[in-house]
Amino acid sequence: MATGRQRSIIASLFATLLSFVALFGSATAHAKHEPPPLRGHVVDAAGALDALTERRLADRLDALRTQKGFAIVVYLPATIGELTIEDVAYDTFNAWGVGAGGKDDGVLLVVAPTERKVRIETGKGVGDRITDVQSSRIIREVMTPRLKAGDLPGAVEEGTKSIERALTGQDPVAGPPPQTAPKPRARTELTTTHKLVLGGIALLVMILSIVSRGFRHVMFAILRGLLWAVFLGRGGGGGGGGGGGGSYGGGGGRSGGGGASGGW
Amino acid sequence: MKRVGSGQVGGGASFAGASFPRASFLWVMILAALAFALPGCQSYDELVEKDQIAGEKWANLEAALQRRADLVPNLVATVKASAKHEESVLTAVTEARASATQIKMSSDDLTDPAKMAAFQKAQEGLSGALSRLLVANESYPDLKANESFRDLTAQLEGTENRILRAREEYNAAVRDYNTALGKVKGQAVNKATGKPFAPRVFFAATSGSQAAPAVSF
Repeated sequence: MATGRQRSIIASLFATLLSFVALFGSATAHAKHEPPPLRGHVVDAAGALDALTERRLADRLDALRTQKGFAIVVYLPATIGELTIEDVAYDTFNAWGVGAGGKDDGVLLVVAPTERKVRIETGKGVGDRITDVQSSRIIREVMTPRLKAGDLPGAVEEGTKSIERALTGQDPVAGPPPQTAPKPRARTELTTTHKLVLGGIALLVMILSIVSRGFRHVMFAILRGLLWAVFLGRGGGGGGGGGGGGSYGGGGGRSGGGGASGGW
Repeated sequence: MKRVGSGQVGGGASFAGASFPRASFLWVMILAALAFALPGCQSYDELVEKDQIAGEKWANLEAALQRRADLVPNLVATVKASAKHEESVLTAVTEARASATQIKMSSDDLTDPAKMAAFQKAQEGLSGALSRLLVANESYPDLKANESFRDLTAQLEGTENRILRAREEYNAAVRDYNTALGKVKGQAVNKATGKPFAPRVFFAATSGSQAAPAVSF
């Protein structure tokens, strides 16, 4: 049934298709960086943050997002390979969808410890709140000095605080309003009478422990109880980790390449 | 369903005689027309949508390019004020800006390879002149310490990065649209509707403009 005419039509269509491809080629985009899955506000693939800092940071950023809506995510890639920090930040931002979709109100802070590069990538919707100049100032004045001094956790913490200040309409680089430093609690000097009384009690306890078997038992029981309390208290505190920091998985926000970069 | 249908056909064949083939032929024609028209409409809508997306991306790209052009006068003024600079570099930047802002692209121009090439060349001229200016500024420590110059370079770097992303997104949209148009269905619909669609031209990067002016402090 397929006549020569039909075949020639198909051939010509195919040829046109090929010519489209040949004419305009493929304008290749940069090679893509593939970040690990987003499971919270802090993704430390480089392992540069200690658990405590990471948790505190994640908790703070989670609180900011639930209260004010802005999503700040910190990403520490193990390596950025041959790519630029700009490519990595842009790809990661859009792969994760930092910020709410439509509002695009996310900010991604990327610090690559191996390559010593840092970038603040802003969502399309926060470009007027945190300008490129502000991002650049945060990197230059807040983060770089700390990074140069080897204090990466401090740089990340202060950097995110500055970003937060910029997002909430404050000056990002000037610190928070100076707080009145808490007065160091005056050490209570032990007077001689106090010393005498305390020493008397201690002596009494010792003598009683030696003399009375019953008193000795009571003292041991109290001591054991105290030890257990300390041990259990610490165990309970340690076991509570893991669930903190929220489980942020991105909201579909997009970046158009805004922000600033730096290195140290 | 099947039994009822076959019963009707069987009945038609047995006693409707001559009238049946004509009616069934009509039905076949209507069905065939629908079968072609529905995907055709879909394909047309798809092309319209992809063209719109590409148009939107182009607008973003133009906005980023405009933003860069707007930064230039400030940059030139700052540099002129604080560095006794080689006039030629500054003049080159001003001229490149003038020629880059001179070319206005209408939506028809976006499918014209020659016009697009001219537009790209002008924009690349500005990129090149700006990066030469920034490189020349490296030898002026006063200028590098100047706060407003730092801010301007931060803005310029940010804008160059936005241009890069906008260009990537535009090219991706163009690829998407051109592919839909190049497909057999797209071509058939385009021909049938009097060729309202034309393939868009990529805003390709050449070696010169790929590297945004790198400024290190």
